[in-house]
Amino acid sequence: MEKDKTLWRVAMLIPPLAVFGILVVWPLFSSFYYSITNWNGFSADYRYVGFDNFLQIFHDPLFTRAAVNTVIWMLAAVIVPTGLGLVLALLIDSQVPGASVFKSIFYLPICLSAIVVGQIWVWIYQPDWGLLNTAISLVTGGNSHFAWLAKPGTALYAVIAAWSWQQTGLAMVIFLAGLTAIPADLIEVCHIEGASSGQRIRQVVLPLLRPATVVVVALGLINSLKGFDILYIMTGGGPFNSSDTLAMHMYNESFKKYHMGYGSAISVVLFLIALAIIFAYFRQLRKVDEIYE
Amino acid sequence: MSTLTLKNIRKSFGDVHIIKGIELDIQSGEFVVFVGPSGCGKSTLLRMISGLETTSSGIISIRDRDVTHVPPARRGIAMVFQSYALFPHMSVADNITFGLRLAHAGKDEITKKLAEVADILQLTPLLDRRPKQLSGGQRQRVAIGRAIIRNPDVFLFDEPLSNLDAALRVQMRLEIASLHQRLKATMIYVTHDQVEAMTLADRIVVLNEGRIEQVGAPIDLYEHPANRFVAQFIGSPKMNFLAAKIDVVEGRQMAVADGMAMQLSDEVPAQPGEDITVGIRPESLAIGGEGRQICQARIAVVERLGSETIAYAGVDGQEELLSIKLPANPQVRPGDLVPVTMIGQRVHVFGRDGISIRSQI
Repeated sequence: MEKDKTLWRVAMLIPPLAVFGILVVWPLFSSFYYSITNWNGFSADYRYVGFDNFLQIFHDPLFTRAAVNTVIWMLAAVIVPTGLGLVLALLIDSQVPGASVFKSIFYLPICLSAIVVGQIWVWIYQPDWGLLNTAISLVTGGNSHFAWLAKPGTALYAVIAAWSWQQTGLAMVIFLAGLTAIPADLIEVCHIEGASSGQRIRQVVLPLLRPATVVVVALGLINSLKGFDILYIMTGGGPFNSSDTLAMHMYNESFKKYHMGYGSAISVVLFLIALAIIFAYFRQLRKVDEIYE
Repeated sequence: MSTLTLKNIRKSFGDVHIIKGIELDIQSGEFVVFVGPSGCGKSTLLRMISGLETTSSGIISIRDRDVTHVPPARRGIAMVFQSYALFPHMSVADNITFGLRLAHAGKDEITKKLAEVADILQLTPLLDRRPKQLSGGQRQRVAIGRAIIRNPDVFLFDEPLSNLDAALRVQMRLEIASLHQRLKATMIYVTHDQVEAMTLADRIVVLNEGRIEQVGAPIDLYEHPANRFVAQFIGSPKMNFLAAKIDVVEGRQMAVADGMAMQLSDEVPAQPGEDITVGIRPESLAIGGEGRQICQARIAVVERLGSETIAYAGVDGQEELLSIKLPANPQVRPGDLVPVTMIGQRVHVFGRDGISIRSQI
């Protein structure tokens, strides 16, 4: 009887494990393998090159550019949605009129795919009839035709704005859950002890939101590291690689320039960065548990 | 001097009336306990005094100052919560001095007051710890410390011992009592535990359905309950109630029921044939012995508590089991038919409306 149960459990586990193995584990180890070859993605004729691909990273100016852009992208793509999400959560939690309606509206963008969000913002940034230029023209009384996505100085930041618009809702919802978890009597102590709103937020609410903040920041970092699709649809890494991130650079090297071996080496670097973030996240979570659990 | 005055205090949530006109004066240095069953409004009343709950109508005065619409921080109160309400990210010292730091008190003043409070509550070795590193009793002492350091006109305690285990509750009860004696502060304490109320209070306020049933010293409430509600709420095990009628036998007023007859030592203002309820405390009953027999009862359950035994016995014609407080190890077993006798003449008589006609002692 017990043996039958075990067999049944194993049988039920095989399909999901097979899917996970084929779609996650196999490509992961393939990347490690191809990163030490000069494979072009098609030919069966490729050879082992040792760590040449990794050494090439240090001599690739486009990699350096993509790495700098990735740092800017990750910092902005974490700080902006986290900050805005926190402010929105505090406002909604303070029971402003129509709070539940605003909550739904702000959360809506996270339900859309990055491709849809990217396309919406491509239209918003459209130089001739886009919403942004139209609004600027109306406010200034001029005739704005600025090509937000075509200028190296603004392209990356324009995508960051679109990304933040989508991700803020997620941060807001996590912070709202964190605010709900704060015991009401701790806030009542603040009222009895005479804390002003600012003192209450600074000294009590924000520290008590630390568990939620750790989750928001970690999710933001990991999501931003994966942030490829929105960049692909809005700028494709351009103009002149000005919005190229490591994920974008990896794609361009692997699938546009057919340097699959080098692209795999970049993907291994990205994987290690993600791994470091996840380790840091779990360390923070353990610290938070020590205080708050 | 009166520290706190409540004048016709009412609280409603829509059509639901929670507090229905409370009138109360609390003197300086008094320890007053609000007691009552769950949902009677005792915590709501305390929260209204603290300012955490608004008042629908009526006036709350602290030291002759109308504070009905004054924010909690400016009422001169401090509150200790059931859940301790300590900030988990702050040390014990920071929790205690939270209010002083908010008010930008000087460092020397904070250090001095913290040392005093920590000394009173024996928290000095724990000042650097976080709440998570403390036991339940220590956490409650920190919460009390945060209240003491404010030097308030009135201390408010909202069921502060409910989260503690039985042994710790007894210990903390003693600590709160000695703290009151030491500080001589006005304290209002909410509990549903009548033992806490009896042991701590100078005066008990018994609340039921948003109204005060009776206010008085613990022993007054025990000996002279104003009605059935107070009589059954104060005292453990609770008072026995026996349905009976007034009868006059040989010129003497009696309470009679099926299989039961009890002579009332003093006349009560009731006519023969009138329905009454006789209230007898379990400690006023015995099995056999020299007392006056009032009825026969069949033992249903025997609870042996070590220092005493509680026997529960059924009486013909009565719905509820009679509880009888007996010495440590009596020779009674479930199923025994025993004579129930009265020790002394301590009987309470309640009319059909539940109001005490007279307590007879």
